[in-house]
Amino acid sequence: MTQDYRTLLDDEGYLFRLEDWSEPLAEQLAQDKGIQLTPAHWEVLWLLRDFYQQYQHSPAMRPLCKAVSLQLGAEKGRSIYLMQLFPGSPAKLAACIAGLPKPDNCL
Amino acid sequence: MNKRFLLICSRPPYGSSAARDLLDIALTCSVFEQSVSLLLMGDAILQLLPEQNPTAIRQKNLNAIQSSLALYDIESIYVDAEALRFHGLSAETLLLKPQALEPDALQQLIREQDVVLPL
Amino acid sequence: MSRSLHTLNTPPSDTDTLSHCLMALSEGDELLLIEDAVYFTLPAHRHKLPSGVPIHALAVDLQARGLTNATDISIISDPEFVNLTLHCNRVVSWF
Repeated sequence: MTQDYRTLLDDEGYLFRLEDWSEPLAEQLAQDKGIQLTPAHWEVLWLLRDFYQQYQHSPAMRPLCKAVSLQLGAEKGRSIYLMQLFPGSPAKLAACIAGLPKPDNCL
Repeated sequence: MNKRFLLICSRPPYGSSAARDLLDIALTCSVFEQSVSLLLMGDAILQLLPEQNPTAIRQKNLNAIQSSLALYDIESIYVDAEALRFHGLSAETLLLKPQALEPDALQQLIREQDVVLPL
Repeated sequence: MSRSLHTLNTPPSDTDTLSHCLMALSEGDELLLIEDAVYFTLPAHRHKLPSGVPIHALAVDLQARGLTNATDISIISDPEFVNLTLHCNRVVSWF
């Protein structure tokens, strides 16, 4: 990862080019937001990246919960769980760290 | 307040932004926790043909977004039966397995809605 | 009784929009012709509209296009248009 990773990001902290994403960059982006990535974070991030691959957009909160629920179990699909991992707006924050565009339809 | 929305599209995919707009509005309605149904009339049934690949015309694959509709709890997808006959297609071969409606059923569907939005 | 007001704004040459509108029209609904759809009041096109539902045309759009001979349809003003929307359960705009 280069020193000037900030030049890869737009005003809101999302990557201009999705192909610039890497795991170390994700660690850095998370750290900037006060988050230390754990395996619990990573399983959601990988799920998000799969979601984007398959559906070609970043999910809003509701479909994110549903997708997590279907793949990682109902307990993890609750918004409170995702709020604990990615405080504030999980759909936006997790998309950002996962190197995906900002969700369009997000409250 | 929860309202029943019916979004109606009659345009084919890719030639205009209509099909994208339909999906954008549908996803937005879902985020606001409104119940959404989609009705594809006329050429709009062609939006549900599987195996689209618009990469070379630099557009997003509508099939990809359509496949995510169930995750947004949008599961009521209807097509106009006359359009199926016109294009020689059957509902079972289309993505999302839409329900084909004859005019009577289509009119009934409209009467059950709070908001009807042709696009 | 659940009643819809359908507005149509496309000219008679746009047969697809007309056919979708007609397919969606239930008994008890109302049809309002606005903008280029007021050309449906010409004698050559009048039979293309259904006979079972009340049909209205917007006065300002008829006037603008020199269509002064519309007979068996109700010609309504803008305030009457607003009134009509208030008396229906939903408005469905075909364009």
